[in-house]
Order: sequence, then C-alpha cells, then structure tokens
Amino acid sequence: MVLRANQNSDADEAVLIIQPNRNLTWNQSKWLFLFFAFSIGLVGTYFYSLGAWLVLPFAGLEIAIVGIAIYCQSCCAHSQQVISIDETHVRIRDNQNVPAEKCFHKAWLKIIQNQDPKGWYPSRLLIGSHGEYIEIGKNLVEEEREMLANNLRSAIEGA
Amino acid sequence: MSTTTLTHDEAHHHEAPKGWRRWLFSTNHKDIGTLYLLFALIMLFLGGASAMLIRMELFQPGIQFLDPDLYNNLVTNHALIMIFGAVMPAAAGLANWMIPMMIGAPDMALPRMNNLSFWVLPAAATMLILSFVVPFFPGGGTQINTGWTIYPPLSVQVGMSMDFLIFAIHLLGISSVLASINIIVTLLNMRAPGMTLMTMPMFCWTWLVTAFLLILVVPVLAGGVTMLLFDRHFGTSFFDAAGGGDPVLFQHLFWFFGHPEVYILLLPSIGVLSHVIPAFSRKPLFGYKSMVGAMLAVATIGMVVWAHHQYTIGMSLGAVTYFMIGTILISIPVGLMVFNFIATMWRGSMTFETPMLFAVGIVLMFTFGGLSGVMLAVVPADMQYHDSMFVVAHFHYVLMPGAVFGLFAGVFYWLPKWTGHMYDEKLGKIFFWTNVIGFNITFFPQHFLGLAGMPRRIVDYNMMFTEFNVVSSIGAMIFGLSHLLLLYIVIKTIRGGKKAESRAWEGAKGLEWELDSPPAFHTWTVAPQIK
Repeated sequence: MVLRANQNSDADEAVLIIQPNRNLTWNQSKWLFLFFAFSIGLVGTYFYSLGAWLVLPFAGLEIAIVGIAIYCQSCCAHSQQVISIDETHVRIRDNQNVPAEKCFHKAWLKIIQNQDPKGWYPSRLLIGSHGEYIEIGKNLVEEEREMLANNLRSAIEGA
Repeated sequence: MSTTTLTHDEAHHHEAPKGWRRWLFSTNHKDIGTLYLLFALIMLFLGGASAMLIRMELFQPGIQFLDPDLYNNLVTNHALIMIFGAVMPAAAGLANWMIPMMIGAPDMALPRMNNLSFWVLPAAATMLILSFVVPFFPGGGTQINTGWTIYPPLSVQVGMSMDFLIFAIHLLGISSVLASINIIVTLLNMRAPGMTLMTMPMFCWTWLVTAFLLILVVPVLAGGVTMLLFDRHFGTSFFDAAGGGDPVLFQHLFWFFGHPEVYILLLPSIGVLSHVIPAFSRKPLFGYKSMVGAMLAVATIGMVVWAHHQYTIGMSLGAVTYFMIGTILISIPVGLMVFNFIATMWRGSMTFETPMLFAVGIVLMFTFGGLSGVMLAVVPADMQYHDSMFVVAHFHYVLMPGAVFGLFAGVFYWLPKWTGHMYDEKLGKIFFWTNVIGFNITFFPQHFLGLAGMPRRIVDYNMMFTEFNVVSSIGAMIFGLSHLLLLYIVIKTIRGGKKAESRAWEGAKGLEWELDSPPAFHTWTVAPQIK
C-alpha cells in the first residue's frame, strides 16, 4: 500500500492520495487479458480442428477465470481516495467504484481512529461531522493509517 | 459515497490466527507455502515408497512379490504422485513463500484463491491414492496398468480406478491453474515501486514463464481426459478406431501437456539455481537478460515439439523431421543457461555449502540428462531406445537433478529464512552425498540396461540384465533411505539450532534477505522503494 502526499502551495491546498501499490495500468491489464485469451483460444481452436472439441469448453472456462482474476485485482489495485484540504473545507473523493465526492466544513470536522477492543481487527479511520462519517485508508496497514491520521490532524490544524 | 456509523463490522484479521483455523482458512502466503511444502514432502515419501517397491521387485529376474498388473499400477502411481503430488506442489510452495517477499508485496494478489488452490490438492491426492487402492476391494475392477500416459485403448478398458484418476487429474489441473493465475497477477501487478520486469529476481521470472505454460497446457489435458471419460461411459468414440475415432489423438493431447510439463517442473529449479549460484560464488548472475531470453525460448519451442514422444506411431517424414529439429533446437537455450551458471561460478569466491553442492551437482547431472535427451531427439536412434530403460534413465537424469535437486537446493538455501535457524551443515552435506551417490548408482546402470534392450514397464526381465538391476536396486535403497535424513534435518532445523541472521548467507542478495529470519506473519506491509 502506498500513501502519497502532495502539497499544492499555489492554491493553498493540501492533497493526500491513498492508493495501493500497482504496476499495471487498466490498459495494460486489458492487453494482458487479451494476450492470454488469444493464446488459450489458439490452443483450443487448434485441438478443435483436430476433432478434440472438448478442449474448447475448458479453454473458455480458463479464459473466464483469468479475466475475472485480472479484473478483480485491477479493481482493487486502482481504488483511490483523494483528500483535498483547503482553507475552509475538506473534500474526499472516492474512486473505488462509482466516483463520488463528499465535502465537510473544517470547523466541524472530527477525525476518529476507532480501535477494535479485542485487537482482532484493524482500526478504522473515520472522518466527518454531524454524525456522518466516511471511512478512509481502509486498504492501509496499521502504521500507515496511524500516520495518515496524524497527517490529517496536522494539516487541518495548520491549513 | 457511503457513510458509516462507528461500529466494527469489517472482518480483517491482522493478528496471526491460532490452531487449525490458521491453516484451514489461511490466506497468508507463508502459511500456504508451508502447507504446500508439507504436502509435497508427504507425497515425496509416498511416491518414493512405490519406487522402492518397484526396485525391490526388479532386484532379481522373475516375479518376486508383485503381479504384473500391480507392478504397472505402482509405476503409474509413482509417476503421478511424484509429478503432481511432490514436485509441482513443492515448487508452488517455494513460489508462495518467496515471490511476495522477493518482489516486496504484502501477499499474493488473490489470497482466498490461493487458499482454494492449495486445499483442492489434498482432495486430488485422495482421489489419486484411491485410484491405486480401489482395485484391491471387491468389485473394484482392474488395476491402472497404463503408466502415467494413460493411453487408450488400454485406459478405456481399465476398471473404475481410472475414473478416480481422471477426476484426480481434473482437481490437480484446477489447483495448478488457480495457483498460476495468482502468481501471474501477483508478479505483474504487485512488484515494489521501482522494480521493473527486467530487474525482477530470476526465480520470479522462471515462475512467470512456468505459470504461463501451465495456463496454456492444462485445458488440453483436461479436455483429453474428459474425452477419455466420455469414451468410457457415454458411448463416444473419440479414441476408438472402430467408431471412427483415433487413439493417436489422445497421445497428441497428452503430450501437448506432457512435454511442456517437463519445463514446468524444471524452470522453478532453474530459478532457484539463479539465486544459489550467485550467492555462493559471491558474484552477480552472469547474463541476466540472456537467461530471460533463453527461458522464453525454451518455453516457446517446448510448446511445439511435443510429438517427439511419439516418433514410433508412424508420423509423416515431414512431421518427424520438424519435431526432431525443434527438439534439438531446445538444447541451444538450455545450453545457454548452463553456460551462464558456469560463467557465474567462473573466478568467483566459491564456497560449497549444501545448496551450492546441489547446484553444482545439478549443472553436471542435468547436462548429462540433457545430452541423452539429444540422443533421444534423433529419430533413428529413438526408434531403438523407445520404451527401453534408457528412456527411464534419461528422464530421471533430467527430472531428479533438474527439478528435485533444484528444490532441495532451494529448501536448504531458504530454510534459515523460513525457520530462523541454520540447518546442520554437516548433516546437509551427508544428505547431499548419499542422495547424489544413491541417485547415480540407481539410474546410471539403467542407460546400459536400455541400450542392451531391457524394456521398461515390465515386471520381469532376461537373466542377462541381472547384475545392473541388482546395482540399480541397491542404489535405489540408498537413495530412498537418504530422504529420511532430509526429514530429520528439516525437523531439527524447525525445532532449533543456531540463530539465522536476516541475511543468512554472506553473498545472498534480494529483498527477502532484508526481512528478519523468520519473517513476521505480515511482511512488506509498506512496499519498499527499489532504486
């Protein structure tokens, strides 16, 4: 998992980007899938032409599994939360599934790190106000979540 | 965007779980790696026991205590257990343990699928063992006397044990495909920032190619055995000439899987060697890029030369010539790999700890096996050697050093990292020498037996072959029993011993050596930056 912090000094705005580590872009993932589909399809078609048509369903099934695996992993790897902090507001943009944005007034903002009493589960970092909270940094490890909470507190106090 | 209340409804374990749940529900790559290795060790002893029975039977001419069908059943099960039960899971175990640590990833890309791909294996192994056991029960039908190639029409006529075997093959295929997809996605998407494909550790490269090969060939085997099942039970005639089918088609299907399978078994060990030899030569690997290229060439050519296993079926001259030239061509990239290993050792500050002893042994013996492979690739010669003990000697010289010794080298190399203890070096060396000497006594004489005309897969033999068979069987006992020492060394190392440092070997390089020995339950939770 990677935590990146950018400071946009011109606009007087602090931006924190939370995203997992990844190597492939969506486009590269698509090409990877196409490469697999083509190769497996080629093998299946060759044996179909020899009369071994029962290879085809297995090849098709495998293409589907490869596709699902690449898609699921890519979705997970491309989830992103962007937290923008300006003079008066904190905006949180979530790019996980449907992009959505939430805006909170800084004066009312609370940052809560909720620890599991039994220590079985990771802590949850919640940000919000007036009873409406959003979980951030869900895919971070404990130390990174702690660091994010501290960074946010200092950014909100300092901005 | 969803909002939330302040409750704990998410289920993510961060602490190491305890008890049997830790293993059954594990999504941790290290735990699953351990399970794979443990499973492989059990299967190694099962497969080894069947090999010992085979060699005991062949100690003297005549039938000693195994009837011919049971003998062939043992031959079949020995091959399947060793290939699918021991070598492939052991390589997958190394991959599970090492790949995330080597590329700086916190775990495999799809941890739940990783759990599934392991836990399918015990079910498959049960089916595989049942295929051996079922004929002993009333109504259990005939023994599987086909050999691991399960060629029709014999395999269509065998009793219900063949159905168990077919389903075992399906389950093994599912496990392999799931593991392969996981490894590919992990390697391509979860490398630490700054680690490019061409700076990735060689073990990871070998597994990337291996996983790709597996994904390409497993559907063909699955299709082939399903067609066999249909011929057996649903009245089809895919492989029945009387019904318009072709038994040779199954051979093509089988060997399209079977030949790349050889590289699937070999390549992970080549990857291990690419770490062991530089570490104990205290030099970087010679020719990284050429090594990657050679591996890709081996995989590509290896995919299209399968019919060299079928020279005697009566192919056209053009086809035979193509398969012969293609097969001989493979020796070029394989030779390049061997050259690179020797060049890495050249003028290095070499020391000969157990992993390095295995590595040097592999370079020598695998080259020897490769040379007898070139002999078998030549059609006129193969017509003479086909189905003789020469073939048995050849593939054991390729697969034992090329695959199994490579895995042993890997186990001894990374055992201090896994357990946090140094293994007993003296015992390790004793194991190496008894293992290698036993292996050579077992299989070297089989070359001569084959050249003199002793056929394989037959329980009895002519009196003239007695001496070499006696030597071979004595060697097999030494070889087989030496593995008990391996078990002892592993258990002793797990239980204690000299504390291993993070970098257990002076010359070892790579991200895995930056971690503690043993590593924490979760590692690389923060991805390292590669410069």
